[in-house]
Parts: sequence; structure tokens; C-alpha cells
Amino acid sequence: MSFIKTTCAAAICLFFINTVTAASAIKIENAWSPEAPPVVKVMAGYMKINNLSNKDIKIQSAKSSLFNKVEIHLSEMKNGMARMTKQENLVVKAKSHIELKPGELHMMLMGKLKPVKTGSIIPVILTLDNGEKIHIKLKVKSGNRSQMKCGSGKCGSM
Amino acid sequence: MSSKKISAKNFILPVSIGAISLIIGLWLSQQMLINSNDTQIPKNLDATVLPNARPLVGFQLIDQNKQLFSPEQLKGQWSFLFFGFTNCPDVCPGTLKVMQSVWKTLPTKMGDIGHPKLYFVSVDPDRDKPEILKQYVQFFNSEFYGLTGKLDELDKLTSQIGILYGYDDKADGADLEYTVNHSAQLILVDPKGRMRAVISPPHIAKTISANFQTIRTFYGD
Repeated sequence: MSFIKTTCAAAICLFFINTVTAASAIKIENAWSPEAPPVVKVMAGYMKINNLSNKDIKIQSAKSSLFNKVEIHLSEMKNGMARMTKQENLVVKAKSHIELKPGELHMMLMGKLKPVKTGSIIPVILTLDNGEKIHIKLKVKSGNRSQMKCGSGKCGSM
Repeated sequence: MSSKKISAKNFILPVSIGAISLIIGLWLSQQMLINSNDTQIPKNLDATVLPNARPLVGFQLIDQNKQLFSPEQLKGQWSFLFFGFTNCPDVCPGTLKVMQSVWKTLPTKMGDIGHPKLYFVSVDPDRDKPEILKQYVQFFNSEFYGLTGKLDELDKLTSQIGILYGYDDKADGADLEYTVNHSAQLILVDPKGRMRAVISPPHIAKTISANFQTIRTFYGD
């Protein structure tokens, strides 16, 4: 009986510690995805990823049950040319944050498996380099992006 | 009798000549008025305007309804051209959203003189078939058009207007998850089917609306 109690207590404790570390290290804000034409199999995800810890954290992979594949890409505008490059092992520096937003870093949700529309929730799981998994819910919005910003590159003209 | 006829003729001839000259004169001055701005550039614009509008010729694309699309069809109204691909999750829908906002600010309606058209030109014809393009563009606005075509025909258009595109990780056949790099400028084509202006990113709805109205007023419909 006391063995069970201890095991339970340990399990609860472990669970608790896990949740606390997860909550204290990475905090996700404003996770959303612009509604895309139903015919399109690719969507984008945007959010702010805060690293509240004193250690750099690497995002090793991402996946979603609604898509075949999830990657993080960077849109860059160089000389007016839009280019996307896959970001391997994206690092969120200690006590810092990165922002995934239109025209810049974005989550690339590829190979849509089910219809997704405004109001839908896209579940995404991030795997960090310490093995921790972060569960994110992207809210699909019709999002009126009246402004496009340039990437980290120059906004060139012809 | 005959002398009367002759005098009538003598009278009619100079009058006719006068009237014709007057009409030609009026027509010429009208034309000069219309064309007077043709090689000048409106001021205070956030767009690159070509002093000499460049005719767009010699390409044949396919529209969203699988109909042939020739340069002739660019004539008759102002048109915006934007190049991209539908599997583009970020920049292309972003720009089309911006154009959706621009359309809301237009003082004209479909069918009105001066009402522009928007053509989303896919440079990814392998994946973007007309039926896909149709659903894609109409998601943003039922008035928007989709165009694509064979690569050599697309090149005939893009090379005339300085639009570049290329594929990353595109292998023959199997993998459909390649991405397309493409110029993100908006090209403004005048009602004579000539390239008149280039609008570079970042695309901002308010700025595009204002620039378009300035350019349209300056050169006329």
C-alpha cells in the first residue's frame, strides 16, 4: 500500500515537475494560421515562442495530426525576390524569443489531410532538443493581413 | 440652273473641307491631350513608373477556365499581374490578401470604366492546373483571375517584365513538396496592354490603392 502511495506520489511529482519545466522554459503566444483556399494543401503557422530559461533551446522537429509534414521556413525578400528556406534546428536563445510572422519565419504545414477553415484548431507538437514536447493549438483565422513586411533581407526594387 | 448647281457645289466643298479640318483638328488636340502625359511620370509615388510604357507581346497562356490567354486580352483596362504559386503559404496569400483589401477601396465596380483586373500568374504549371488556380484566386476575390502556361510561354512574359522564378529541390516526378522562388513585385499594365509600373514589396494595401488611382488619373483609362 505504502509502495503504491510512494509510486503514485512520485509519478504525480514527476508529472508536476515536467509540467512546470515545460511551462517555465517555453511559452507560446498568439498561435494562429491564416485561412487558406480549401484547394491548397499547404498552410502557414505563426506564433511567438518565448524561452524563459537560462539555456538556449533548439526546436528539433514539429508535427501535426492534420498535416503530412511540418517544417519551419524563412521567407526572405532579396531584390524583390521571395525565397523560402527550411530552418533546421531553430534555436530560441536563453531569455529571448523568436517570432513567426507573415513574410518572415513561419511554420510550414504541408500536405493537408483534412479540411481546415476559419475557427478550426490545428494541433502542432514541437520536439525540443531536451526531448520535451510542446503542444500548440493554432487557431485558424480569416486574418486580414493588410500589410506585408519584408524579410530580414533587403526589400529590393527592380 | 447649271450655274446654280455649280455655285452650290462651290459652296459645299469649302464648307465640307472646313468641317472635316475642324473635326480632325479637334480629334488631334484630343489625342494630344490624352497622350500628353504618356512619357511623363506622376510625382510622389511609391512605385516605379516606366516613362516609356513597354508593350507586352508574343506569349500565350492559359486562364483559369482553360481558355487561351493572349496579350490582346490585357487591353481595355488596367491590370495588376502578380507571379507566384498556390503551394506558397506565406508571401502569395499575403499579397492576395493585400489585393483583396485594395479591391475594397476601389471607387469602381466590375464593368465600370477604369475598373482594373488582377491576374495571379502561376509559375508552377506542373502543380497549378487551371481548375486549382480558379478555386485559389476566387477564394480571395471572385473577380480575380488565374493564369499559367507552358514554361517557355511563361518565360516569354516574365522576361519582358523582369520577373524571375526558379525551383528549389524539384526532382523529376516523385516529390511534389518543392518550393518556388519568385519575384514578388506587382506589375501594373495599362489599358493598351503595356507595362506601366512596378510596385515592389512590402505590399501595403493603402499605398497600392493610392498609387494606382494616381497613375490611373495621370495616364487615363
